[in-house]
Amino acid sequence: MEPASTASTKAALLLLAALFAVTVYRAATEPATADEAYSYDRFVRPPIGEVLAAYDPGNHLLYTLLAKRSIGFFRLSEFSLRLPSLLAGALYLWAVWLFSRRIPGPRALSLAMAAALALNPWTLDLYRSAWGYGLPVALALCALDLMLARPLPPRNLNLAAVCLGLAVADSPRFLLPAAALAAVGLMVFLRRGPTAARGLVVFAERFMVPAVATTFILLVLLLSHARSAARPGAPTRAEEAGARSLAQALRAIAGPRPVRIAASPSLEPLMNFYRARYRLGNWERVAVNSPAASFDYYVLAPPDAAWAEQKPARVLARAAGLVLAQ
Amino acid sequence: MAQFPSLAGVIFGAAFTIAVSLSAGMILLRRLRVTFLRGEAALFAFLAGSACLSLATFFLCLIHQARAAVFLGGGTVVIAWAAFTRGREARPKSPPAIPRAWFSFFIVVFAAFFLVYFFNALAPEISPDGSGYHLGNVARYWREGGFAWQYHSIYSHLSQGLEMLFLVAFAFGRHSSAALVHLAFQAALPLLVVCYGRRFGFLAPAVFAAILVYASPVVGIDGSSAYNDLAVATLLFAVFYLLQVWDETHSGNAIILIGLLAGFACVVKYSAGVILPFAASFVWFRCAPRTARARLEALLPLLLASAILVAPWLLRNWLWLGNPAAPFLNRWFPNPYYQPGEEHEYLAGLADYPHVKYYWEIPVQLTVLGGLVPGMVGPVFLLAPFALLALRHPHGRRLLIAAVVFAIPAYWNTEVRFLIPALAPLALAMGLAMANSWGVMPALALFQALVCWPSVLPLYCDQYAWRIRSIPVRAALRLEPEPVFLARHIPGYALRAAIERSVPPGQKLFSFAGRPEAYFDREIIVGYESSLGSRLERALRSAAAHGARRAATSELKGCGIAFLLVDDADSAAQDMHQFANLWGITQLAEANGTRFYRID
Repeated sequence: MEPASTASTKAALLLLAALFAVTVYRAATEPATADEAYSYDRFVRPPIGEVLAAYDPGNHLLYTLLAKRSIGFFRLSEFSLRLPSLLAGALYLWAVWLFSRRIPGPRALSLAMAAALALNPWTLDLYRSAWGYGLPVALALCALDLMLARPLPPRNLNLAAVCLGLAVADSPRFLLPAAALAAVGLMVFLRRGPTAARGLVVFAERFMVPAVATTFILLVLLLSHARSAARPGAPTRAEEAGARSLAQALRAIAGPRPVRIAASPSLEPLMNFYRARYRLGNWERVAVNSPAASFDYYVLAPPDAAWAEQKPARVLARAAGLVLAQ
Repeated sequence: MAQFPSLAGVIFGAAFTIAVSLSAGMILLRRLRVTFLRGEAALFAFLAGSACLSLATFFLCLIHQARAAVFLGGGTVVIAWAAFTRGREARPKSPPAIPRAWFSFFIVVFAAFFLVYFFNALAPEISPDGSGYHLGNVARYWREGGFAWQYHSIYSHLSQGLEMLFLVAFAFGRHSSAALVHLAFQAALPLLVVCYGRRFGFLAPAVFAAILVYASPVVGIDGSSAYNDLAVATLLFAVFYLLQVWDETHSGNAIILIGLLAGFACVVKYSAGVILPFAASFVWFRCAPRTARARLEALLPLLLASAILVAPWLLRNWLWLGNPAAPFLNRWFPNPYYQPGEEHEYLAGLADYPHVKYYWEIPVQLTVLGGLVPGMVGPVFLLAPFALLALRHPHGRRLLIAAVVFAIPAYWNTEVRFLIPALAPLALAMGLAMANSWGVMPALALFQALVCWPSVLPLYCDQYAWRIRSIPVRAALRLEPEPVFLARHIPGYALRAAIERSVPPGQKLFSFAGRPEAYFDREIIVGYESSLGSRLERALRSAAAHGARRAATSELKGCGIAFLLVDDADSAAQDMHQFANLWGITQLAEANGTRFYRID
């Protein structure tokens, strides 16, 4: 490992710090996406008892629990909802830094490794959004870094197991990558450790048991109620921005009087998010639009907007193809 | 004595029974000169003394002298004797201390759950089987001063080792006292588990196991009710424990104690009979020197000691019913009280998972949901496969074998409470397996304690799961009148006043389903519980289809039964309600979906 004060080290640190600053800026300024609003409305807002009552693959439980804390501390905003992701981003970039320093060879190679891992726009996007996927990626990289330590102390195996356990608990889809990483860990451990039989037992005790126990504690109650949940089609980025504009417009139009609002299925979580975000207690919980019921205002996505044109409804505002009608 | 005793009476009844058991056990242990470490001695004394008190009460029931004055006099003598002879033996050695963090953790969890269980046991007894046949038999023996030979039901034919202790407590404090006696066995189990770990050198796994078991929801509700499963679990684990102690010392007197406790376990519940072959095999294989003569010499005291407890119950049934194993093995011992076909039907119903569609649902039901089994052991037991890692340890192998053997009865009865005896050895094996996994045991123990807390359970378990639902402090302290609490929790209790008003003493009632007979002092013939009941049930069920309604009720009258209790859910209920005049019955009362009829 090279000394910490070389130019390539400084460059890597600068790059990672700059990326983190950009991520923080984006998290603070960009409007809520439909997925974020859906996660908030279905998993973060309800009491934990309701969350445990049904399993939805979109519920990243670890993220949900952290976001509940974050919103409890800082009140609801796009930033507070994304704060756990940002912390995961910091963890990821820190793990990138540690991992890149393990690369043998020329010093510039570490910088290249850090850049390759950190500059991926898809990965970076995970950390500015209130999605649960950033956490498992960051935790997995931490686990990999811990398992590659030389010599490999037992505590590293324990910590790596907890990291992978948390990653799977956050997103069960991460089970296969986690299993692959565990296999890597086992191979590394057996190459450096005692005989195969003894090594397997120690690996099971120090790695498999903590990993499974960690996942188990977080997921068992949720998975015991597993059942599928249907989700509406996702709106585009522009429509998400439009939903925020319409929510702000409706806040101004409706004022403090009680109102009943209906929204297209894809926009309903977004409107409920902004209802909570702007603390609009005079709005009844936004319902999914239904021809059988009557509402004061309608926020409609393009397929439903035509329906608003046919009805004797007054269009109050339009944004990104969305319609706010009365 | 009043029907509903005071709070002081309730607590005295339980405390007196426990004190007599403890004293009798201390005297016995001194006589046997079996040495224990500090902490173990009191627990084994309580268990051994319970066996002695149960046997003594059995003989009092035989001669119809099971009365409060006899219990009080005899018990006082035993307590005085134990106190007088105290201090003549050497003080027991102290076992290794539990690490401070684990000790504090255990004390907090144990104290919190103990309070919950204590208030539930102290509250009026409302459990289905507790208020049904367990205390129904006890109340009948109390009224008669001993065994009620003229009453026949499969539940009165079962051996009733623990009910003999309940009877002593019942004499002073009625139903809740009996539940508190069972609570003492429940509290003894985790303490025994901790003592086991202290003696054999795995403290943390033992504390972990004790928390897992004690916080388990089914252990909580069963142990704070007048059931017998926790007594069985504690006795089986105590026998296993003593076998390990004997394996170290090969003391002949320890074998006698093992035999006594194994025999007592068998008469508390037939399903605990698995302990006899288990103990005998252990002694056979671990005996030194390994000659046939030495093995037989070791086995003989074990079998004789267990026979002291088992033989009286077998003889009672043989002489009374003609079937020592009643209500089972009726094909081998034919008798007029229960037919082989009825036995087969009854056992087939117990062995079935009625609403479980897929096999993978069973572990989830047993551990987390608990709606169909009913009850659950707690989510952490889903990690039981980890216990296989304990196969590396000699103790781990023995614990796993014990867990498998103790779980065998669950094959014939799918209710989760039949798995309770296996929980302690299984949890200990899990603890041994996780001993080197840093941080896992405290995390899982804390998780089990949190998610098994009564107010947390509704977040995830089935709404119908059998579990503790509240901490009824007001009812426990008798600030809420007992009848009000009972009427709120036992649907059939509301008919009590009408039954006592209408049914003359000595008259019988017929019911398709079991009733809270512990609170009724009239004899109820339940359909499936005897040959007579089954015959009458068949007659009533087929009467509507064959137009023989009046003949069916006349048959009941011919058997001395002039009253009927019918749930609206029963198949004949609708017809009886609509054509009461054709049946020749008159409705006297109705409450909570149950109708009370008189046969005219």
